[in-house]
Amino acid sequence: MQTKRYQIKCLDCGGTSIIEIWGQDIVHWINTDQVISARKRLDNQWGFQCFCGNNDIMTTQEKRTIDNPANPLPQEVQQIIENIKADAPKFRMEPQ
Amino acid sequence: MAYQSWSVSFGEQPSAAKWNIIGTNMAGFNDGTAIGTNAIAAASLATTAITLGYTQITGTVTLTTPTVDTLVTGLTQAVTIPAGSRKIKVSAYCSDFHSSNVNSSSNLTIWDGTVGSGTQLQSWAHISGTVDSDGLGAYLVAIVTPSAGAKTYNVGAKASAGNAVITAASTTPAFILVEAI
Repeated sequence: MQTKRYQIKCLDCGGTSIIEIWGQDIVHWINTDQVISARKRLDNQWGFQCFCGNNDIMTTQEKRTIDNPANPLPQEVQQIIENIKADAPKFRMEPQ
Repeated sequence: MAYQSWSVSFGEQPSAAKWNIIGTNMAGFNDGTAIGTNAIAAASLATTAITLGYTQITGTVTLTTPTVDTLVTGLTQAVTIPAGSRKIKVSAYCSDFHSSNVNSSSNLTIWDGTVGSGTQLQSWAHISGTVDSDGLGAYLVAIVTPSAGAKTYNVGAKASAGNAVITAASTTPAFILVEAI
């Protein structure tokens, strides 16, 4: 399985954490100094959450379309992937 | 520690640091630091959270020549003092208290334990007039910090001469009230 290591930097506070991504979408946390959560979003980009409150775990489109973020309806997911709308990134992924 | 908002979305992969926020929140609920200001509504308080006991009488009690402190029949309240060292407020009320004799003094008292041999916590005094023995309304309060456990508070009365009259009726009950404040 392909493994890549990244430093995730919060563009709000400058805090960082190190992760490895195994394969396409499995996150292995090397440290969690500041960035504490990750998610492969429906726009196929990575979203993150920082201790400082900066958060792009879900895109604006996902938040607007999905009623229950923990358990979206299939039709909600379909609606999003048929017409992806990107947000400006709030974190930077730097290969290590 | 103050409460931190927490949720997860489908497909999210939280780190241990994010999971531990849940534990921090739970510790905050245990010690109260995660409970928001003005968060506890009245309906959520147990009925015994503040009022530990209340007893009233609706018929006048007349104690016959009580020259020493004597229990006012019916004005006794057993309670359980909660842990936590909160102050306890013991209140007693009577709409008209007096000696049946003119020119006589009378006292209404609050006691921790048996009237006369326990611990007096508060006293209210009245001196009847030279022409008649009309009384006054009496409201007395004692603030104490007892240890947790069982307690009985009592109202006592005495008079230098004559009977001690503790007036009460259905529309003017005399009472003893014990509260944790």
